[in-house]
Amino acid sequence: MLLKDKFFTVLHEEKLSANDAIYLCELNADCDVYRGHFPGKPVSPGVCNIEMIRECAELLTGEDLRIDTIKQCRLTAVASPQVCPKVDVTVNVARLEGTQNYNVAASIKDAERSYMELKGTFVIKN
Amino acid sequence: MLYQGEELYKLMPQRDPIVMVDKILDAEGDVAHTGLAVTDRNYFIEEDGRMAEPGLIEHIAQSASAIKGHKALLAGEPLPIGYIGEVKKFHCYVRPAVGDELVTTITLGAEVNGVTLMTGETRCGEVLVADTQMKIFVE
Repeated sequence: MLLKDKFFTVLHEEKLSANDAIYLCELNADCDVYRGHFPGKPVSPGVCNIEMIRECAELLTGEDLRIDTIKQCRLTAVASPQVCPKVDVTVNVARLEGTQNYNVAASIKDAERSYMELKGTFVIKN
Repeated sequence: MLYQGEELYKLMPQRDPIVMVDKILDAEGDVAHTGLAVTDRNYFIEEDGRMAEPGLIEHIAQSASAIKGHKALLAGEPLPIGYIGEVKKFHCYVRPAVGDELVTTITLGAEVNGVTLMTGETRCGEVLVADTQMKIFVE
């Protein structure tokens, strides 16, 4: 995985069902991405949070997934390792019968606020 | 070609290792074209030598950010820092590979209360790579 154990570390997995899980993730302040985003002002790139959702969906399904579509992804607050050192990544997947596709609904939150809500379709890589 | 490589640094706040645009080809009115050469040093390249989809979203967002920086520079205004507020109707048709030259068409819409609506469409040669709508917040 591209960003697991680099941008984020999974501290705990709570599997609610075969299709639902909550991943408690630590955002790693020493990740090299913060050298450039932005110099002297670390802000977690929204796209890295999208990638964290993809990788958590891979952990949940046990499949390599690509993002086919993002119907909607709202970035509702600016995240950083200082603002939210630990976040809950909640992932729900629904396999579309007879296809390689999962409908995915996911969010990133902590006790204070919500940072991201995403709905899309992820597809098993060939 | 309006800008390339580190010339873009005067238009945008992102720096190595997450610079995801390396050219502004042209900018006329609300439409501009940008580019990115996909190298093996790119932050979003996966083990199979292809770019993870969030890299394309970042490329399109930084393209819009750099174009807004270009317009601000021309107008003698301070450099804006943009954040992605929303990604909508993103579709990735093919993940780019190392060696690909991406060309992206950015169409900037209206700016209301610091939020700009935009669309981006990325191609590699004739091949459509990804398209999306986005809202960018400017600080």
